[in-house]
Amino acid sequence: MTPEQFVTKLYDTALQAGIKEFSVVYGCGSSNRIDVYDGKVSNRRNNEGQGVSLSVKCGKNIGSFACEELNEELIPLMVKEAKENAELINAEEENFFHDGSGEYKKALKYKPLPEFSKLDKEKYLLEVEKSCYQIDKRVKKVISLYIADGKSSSIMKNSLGLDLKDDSEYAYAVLYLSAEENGVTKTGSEIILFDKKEDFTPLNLAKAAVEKAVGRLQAANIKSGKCKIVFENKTFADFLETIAGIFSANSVQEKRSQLVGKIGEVIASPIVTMIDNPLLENGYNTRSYDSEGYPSDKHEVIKGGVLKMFLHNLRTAKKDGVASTGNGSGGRGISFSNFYLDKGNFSKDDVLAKAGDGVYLTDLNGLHAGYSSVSGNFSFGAEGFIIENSKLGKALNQITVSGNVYRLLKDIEALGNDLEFTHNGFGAPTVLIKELAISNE
Amino acid sequence: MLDKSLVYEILDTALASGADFAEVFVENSLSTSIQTGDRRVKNISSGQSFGIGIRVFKDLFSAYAYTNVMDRENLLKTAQKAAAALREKRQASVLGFVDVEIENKHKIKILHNSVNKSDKVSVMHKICETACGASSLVTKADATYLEKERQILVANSNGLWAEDKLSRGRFSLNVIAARDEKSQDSTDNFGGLYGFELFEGRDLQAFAEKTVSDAVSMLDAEDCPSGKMPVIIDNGFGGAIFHEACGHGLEATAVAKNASVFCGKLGQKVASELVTAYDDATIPNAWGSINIDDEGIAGQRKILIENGILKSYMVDSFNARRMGMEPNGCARRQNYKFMPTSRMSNTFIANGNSTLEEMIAATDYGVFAERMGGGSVNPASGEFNFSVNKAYVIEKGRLKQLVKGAKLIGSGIEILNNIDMVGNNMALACGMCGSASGSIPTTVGQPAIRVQNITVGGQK
Repeated sequence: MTPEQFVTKLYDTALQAGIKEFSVVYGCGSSNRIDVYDGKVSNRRNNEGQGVSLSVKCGKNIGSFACEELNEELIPLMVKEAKENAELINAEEENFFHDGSGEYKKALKYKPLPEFSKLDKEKYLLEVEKSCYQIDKRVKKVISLYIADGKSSSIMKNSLGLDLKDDSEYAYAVLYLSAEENGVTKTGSEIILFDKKEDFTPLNLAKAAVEKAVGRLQAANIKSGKCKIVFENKTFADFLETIAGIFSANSVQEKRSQLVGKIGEVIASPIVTMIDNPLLENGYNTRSYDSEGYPSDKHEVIKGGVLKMFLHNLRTAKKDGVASTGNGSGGRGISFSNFYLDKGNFSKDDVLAKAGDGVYLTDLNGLHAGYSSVSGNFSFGAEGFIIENSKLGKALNQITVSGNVYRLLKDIEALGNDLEFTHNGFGAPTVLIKELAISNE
Repeated sequence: MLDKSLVYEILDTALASGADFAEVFVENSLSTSIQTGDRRVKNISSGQSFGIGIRVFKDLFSAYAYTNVMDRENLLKTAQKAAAALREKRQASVLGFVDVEIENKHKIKILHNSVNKSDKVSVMHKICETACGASSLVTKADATYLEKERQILVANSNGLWAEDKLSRGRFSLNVIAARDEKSQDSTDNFGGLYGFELFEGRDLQAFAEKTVSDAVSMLDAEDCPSGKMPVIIDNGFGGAIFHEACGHGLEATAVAKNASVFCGKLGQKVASELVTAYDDATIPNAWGSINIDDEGIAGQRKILIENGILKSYMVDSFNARRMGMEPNGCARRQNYKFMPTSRMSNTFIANGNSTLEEMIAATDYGVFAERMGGGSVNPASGEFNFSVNKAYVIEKGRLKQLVKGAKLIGSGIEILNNIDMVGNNMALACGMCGSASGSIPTTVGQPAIRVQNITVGGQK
């Protein structure tokens, strides 16, 4: 049975079952990966997959069932399960399907440069591995090195007339290695997405990871206490990804964010402007509609330190009496697109000069634990450098960095002009924080 | 799930270009997730997953291909994809299948699908109501219930044919308590290889009340101190420290590539002699248990460290080739979309002789970490971190003020050698572990232990 036949049959079965509102999403994709280890190709992967999900509305609730096997015999089960799920849900607020109205703006999303299709991946990876050992004798082992790429496409159709199609593709290389000196081992890693010309030069990837690992050797300790903290741009972007949920209307309505009732109030330093921009050119999360099929648009969540809005899906928007912001993620959740702290005017060196003395953070560890959006308290493992006399000094052995996110937003003292995005679509410039607690010895 | 003649054909196709080994992994699973709160069902979603992963080895090269388009033609095409990287003459052929006899150690009493979802919802509501009634400061109690039935078939060119079916269930409760401007949340959970009997014979009231009292008491918590100091880590989820500081470093994934601080240390002292630790996949109905691993090898009870001496690694069949060792039943994966690799199951430090009271009394100044969160490790450098959600300061052998969460950081071998007291109250706790082959259910565990000196990252 072809996917088209399956979707049509599913559509018809749902109609016959007396379901008036429903939505079908079909997705398929393929992916490849090639790994190199010890001067040889060590692994190759070549995968394909597909899936269909059916969501049905009964009363004011939506229930769903997802399935990978496009087997005709499963269709009655899908309809029965999705309907049963919808009938059992009795959430306070109503859930909706979108009818396809509104302006769907063109979104130029990230994809690898055309050169990628001609890249000899095996040769590239072997060259990267060789370069790592050549750049610095202290490189101990290239532990993991691979290129992954893939394509996916999806179809979203519902009984209200929504009919959307989307395609995307990606490619990336990952390098993870260790370096050793005097019996101490440190690691460095780098990921590139083949969307810049320089990504195609093996030496550039090798250099980036080697410099990180080697730079961490001969690390020093620092006294525990409170000090000025400068976050490297991508490190603050990782932090932003962890805490972004406080701006989700779902968290706010569920009282998991302390920003309840704070729209129009000052919640951050006056230099802070925070933006969700799904239309960002070549952005890693660029899209013209969200997972509910609602058209995307750029939104300023914080402007000049003042909280302007929360990010919504159809359900949370209705509850708050506003329009969806196109941040639906399927189910009840909210998804961010290209979410970033807007840049300031200073160079990175200027920001370090403003700090004078303190700690420069280049990595955060254990971000999946050690943070509560309810209290805002966080404590993470971190790596970085001492800032002495306005300049970067010695590397630090792992430290902890602790604080409270609601406090931190107000303590942002300076912003760099070097906005960068991580591959997860979160972005930030270099950021100076007035004070956080660090612990090391 | 697939008939033997078709599997034979797939394996035969996968071997055609010179592979010395081929394997088929078929998985069919059905899962449901229910979220409740405020006496309402907020969401229910369910789904089915069915697919195949085909793997070939040739010396130290491996290839993998998966698909979920399960017709014969496409399955053979997928086998060709797995074989495509090799361009040599056929070297091996498929041996006749021998069914592996599998003893089911994890019997299920009440199958997930034999119970109406509305009955599951009733139990969830009851626990949330108990939580809401436990303190007037509770502003919210949300529950999540996840259940999954997973059926697997592993067959390989050496003639192995193994099938298994396991049911898992996990319940978690999250409570928010608020007073004035302050709010705090607390989460706890239980789970295992169970059907709906997951809820039977448990003191659900005590479970809900404890979760509430954790959130409520944290409203008065002060900032945790920072710096290096002795830390007593309580039993149960405290075992996350061993999981991070040591467990990941004993997985062949890291060891085979010389990317673990525990490389080459078999038979050597890597921990305090008070430490004996196991990875035991055979504990009946435990959350991280299995009957067979995802390569069809029976799950085992392995002693990892005995009185401080490193005794064994966790080894999967591919890394076994690099290491010159035998695989020992620990190859796991999230689903057929991942290649299996060596992973933990139920990993814990065994009981010692001290009581928790003795440990506290023997500590002049330090921290007692009562409730733990998750962590992570860099096996190559040995540096790990893990979170403490609730702790007390210890002064002159007594518990003093309650303090907020903090991160504990350290380096694996250093911390293991720094354990100077081991308690006698071993308990296990459920977690999810993420690594190269995806996110899998694992159990951590330990009795209370005292680490003589570790970096505590508080806000003070």
